[in-house]
Amino acid sequence: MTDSEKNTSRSARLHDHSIISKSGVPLEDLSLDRVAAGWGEMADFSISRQALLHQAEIATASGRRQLGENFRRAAELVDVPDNIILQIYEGLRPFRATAAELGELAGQLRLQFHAPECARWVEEAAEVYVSRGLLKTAHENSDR
Amino acid sequence: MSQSRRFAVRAAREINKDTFIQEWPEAGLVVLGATADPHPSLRLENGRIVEMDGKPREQFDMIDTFIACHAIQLDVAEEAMAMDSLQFARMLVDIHVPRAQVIRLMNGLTAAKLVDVVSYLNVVEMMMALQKMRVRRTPANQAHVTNRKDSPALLAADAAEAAFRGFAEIETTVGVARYAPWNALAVLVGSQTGRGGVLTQCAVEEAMSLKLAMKGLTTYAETLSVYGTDPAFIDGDDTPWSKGFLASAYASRGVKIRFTSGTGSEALMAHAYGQSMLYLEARCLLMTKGAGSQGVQNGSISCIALPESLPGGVAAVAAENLLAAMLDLEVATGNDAMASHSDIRKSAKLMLQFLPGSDFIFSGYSSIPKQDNMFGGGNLDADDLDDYLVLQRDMKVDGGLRPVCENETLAVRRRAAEALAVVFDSFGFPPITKAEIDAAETAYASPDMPDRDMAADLAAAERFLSGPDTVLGAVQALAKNGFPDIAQNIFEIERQRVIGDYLQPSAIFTRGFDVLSGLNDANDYMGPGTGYRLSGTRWEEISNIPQAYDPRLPRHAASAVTLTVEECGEAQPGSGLEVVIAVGPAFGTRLQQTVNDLPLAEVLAQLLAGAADEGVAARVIKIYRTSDLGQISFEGSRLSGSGIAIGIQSKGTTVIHRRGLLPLNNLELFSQASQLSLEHYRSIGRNAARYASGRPVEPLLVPVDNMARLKYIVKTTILHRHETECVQSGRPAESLKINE
Repeated sequence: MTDSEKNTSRSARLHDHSIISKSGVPLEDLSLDRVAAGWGEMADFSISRQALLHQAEIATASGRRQLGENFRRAAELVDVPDNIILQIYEGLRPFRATAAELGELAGQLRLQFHAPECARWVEEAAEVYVSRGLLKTAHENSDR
Repeated sequence: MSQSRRFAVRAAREINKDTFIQEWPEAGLVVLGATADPHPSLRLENGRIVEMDGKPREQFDMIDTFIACHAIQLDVAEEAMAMDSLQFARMLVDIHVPRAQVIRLMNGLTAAKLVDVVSYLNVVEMMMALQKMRVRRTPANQAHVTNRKDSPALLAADAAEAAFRGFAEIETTVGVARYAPWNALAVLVGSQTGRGGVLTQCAVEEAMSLKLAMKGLTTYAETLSVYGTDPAFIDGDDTPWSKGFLASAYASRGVKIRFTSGTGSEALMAHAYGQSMLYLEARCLLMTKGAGSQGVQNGSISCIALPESLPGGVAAVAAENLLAAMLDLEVATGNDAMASHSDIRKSAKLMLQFLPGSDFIFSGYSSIPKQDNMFGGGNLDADDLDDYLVLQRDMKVDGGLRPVCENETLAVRRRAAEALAVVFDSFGFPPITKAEIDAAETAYASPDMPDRDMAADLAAAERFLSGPDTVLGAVQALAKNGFPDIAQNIFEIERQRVIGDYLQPSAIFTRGFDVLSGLNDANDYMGPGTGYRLSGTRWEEISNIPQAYDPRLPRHAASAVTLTVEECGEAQPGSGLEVVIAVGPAFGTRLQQTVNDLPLAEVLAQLLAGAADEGVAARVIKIYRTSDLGQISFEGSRLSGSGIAIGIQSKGTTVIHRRGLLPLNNLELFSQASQLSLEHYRSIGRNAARYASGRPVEPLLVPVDNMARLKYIVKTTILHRHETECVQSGRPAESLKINE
């Protein structure tokens, strides 16, 4: 890695100490010995809302506004189950959902999952889909 | 049919298997400057964009709306759009303008403006700009690891080798979709055997991809394709909002993502709206940025042969890579799909990314033979690895790979297959047999692998996907069964998920699991003496390809017939009918073979036999004062009774000289020693004898080989160096007695 190795002392790992996993386990409690002994599940090795918000701050501070916004939406999605994630993704694909259905998804994100940025994302999509004709219509087969 | 045989030969060349067309702008078959491309413009009112690239907000399509809402940063947009495009183009190559200053302004440009800027650059300037604008200072590379049989042992071994060779990311995919969890697992275990910290992905549909990430089997994804027109995007069954949501979803699972785009996809889908490939690509890149993706793979990717069919196509592909970097996006710069039948053309195109360096020079170098590349890729493949390593060494360029030796590579391959077998065992999968491990170690490609019971495998893979087992079970099995180092590496990959530093732009891991990204390894190129410089241990590593040998060490073939010579006093002038054979100072002492590996004992025997054939006596003398062939033969002819001498250097270069000719003149010169056989040496002996006895001589014709200089110049140089080291100035020629 030549001369770039000099810079790894500035590695972003400096902030390790304050990090906890999605399940709330502090980073320093994660060890190979524990895993080898049968401890742990994937939630212990998943990123937390806080860690993603921290990454969002870093991204924004480095001038990467949109990346920061993405990480903030991601932080909101940490606690959203996989099946709901896939359901929202499916709803956002063209001709999959009516305006009302997208509205429901946005509402669920905002109220149930405390994900206002993601809710706003879905609402914005819905507005565009209305004007661009990308919503599911009554006679359209939803699994187009 | 061609009349000219030369035209016929050219018509059959690989380059003429490629397709070339003229531009057809209405169909989007033009790389730049289509008549339907808009002119740059931007108008803001009350903090929102009301006109962009000549279009009022009411007429915005889906993509325009997304770009206007998310991509263009309004705080710099007016300032940036007011600037002259030519001035931007010059800033891109101006070493006095820091990258950050350019990036800030680029945040405010529209698609048409971005294209206008790069249209001022020629390819050399694009390379200069890419060198300066790419996000990460240290260049890297990504490998494709797949195989036609989805053989898990081979995937693990190939992933291990790819990691061992230095690839920072490994992408796999499936032949049969249901193999996805196995392939992801095999590549993860393999990669962490070859080198800890390599990022891995398995390209499958999004739901599956998310599941693999949730099981801890993958760390990144780059399957998020975007397209530059609404109908193309919708044909791709997505919108910028659905893709943007996916980007957030992946990040929420700790997965690094990059989008995919590339020139030509809209024309291919017949939805280019008469707009140029680069303009549409600029729209893709703005969407990528707007969605908050840290990066993109572009460079036409799977459409590459389409822009390459057009004038300026390869330059346009370089321009799209540059556009990504200008938008502060990590860029994996294509070079994956088949771009040409011609190796010359492929290599030339590669230079546009290889020389400046990019975040990933290939968005999938086929580290496996192309027959096993399930992406349809393999523009460069496993067979080309040595070529690639030599290119790094030739150009003093870090292409992300390192030379490896066979023994170490095989050991790593075997260990990966063995480790995966342990993991399979712990999960209760159908076992990986010893025969499979043996085959994976040394295989060329998947036909070398034993067949498995696919039905049983797929059932097990599906149970794994839907069941509770995760990567942690693999870590546990490896730790308990003799692979603690691999367990440690996979554990560390999983631990890094919790931190998320590798979600930041252009992130890769070093061997020690330190993140190198646009944050802590930001590209700081500002001209000579700055930025990434290949030096120190990394340059040594790239320099030391296994083929390179130490020229100071003699390299005799073991079977050489050794000549032993005995010196018997200073050579005296002869008289009467004789030929003198004057040999160089290392002849039969330090050196024993010609450049062509002919034993000097046999060469000398043939020269003597040739003279004897003609009934002429010959004697051998050794010249010490020079290693120069002209001087050797000049000295010989001076001492020869007939005035005829054969001069021969130890490397085999031979001349027939006659007294009275200038040293650099001669009767016959055989300068390509590599072309001389023992029969030739015998004829030289005969001819010299005929000159001596005044009989007519037909000069010996030796075949000419245009490759001889290429093949032998290094050896010639080394042999001549040895000969010259044996020169003793002032020492007179010695008579030699030849011992059998």
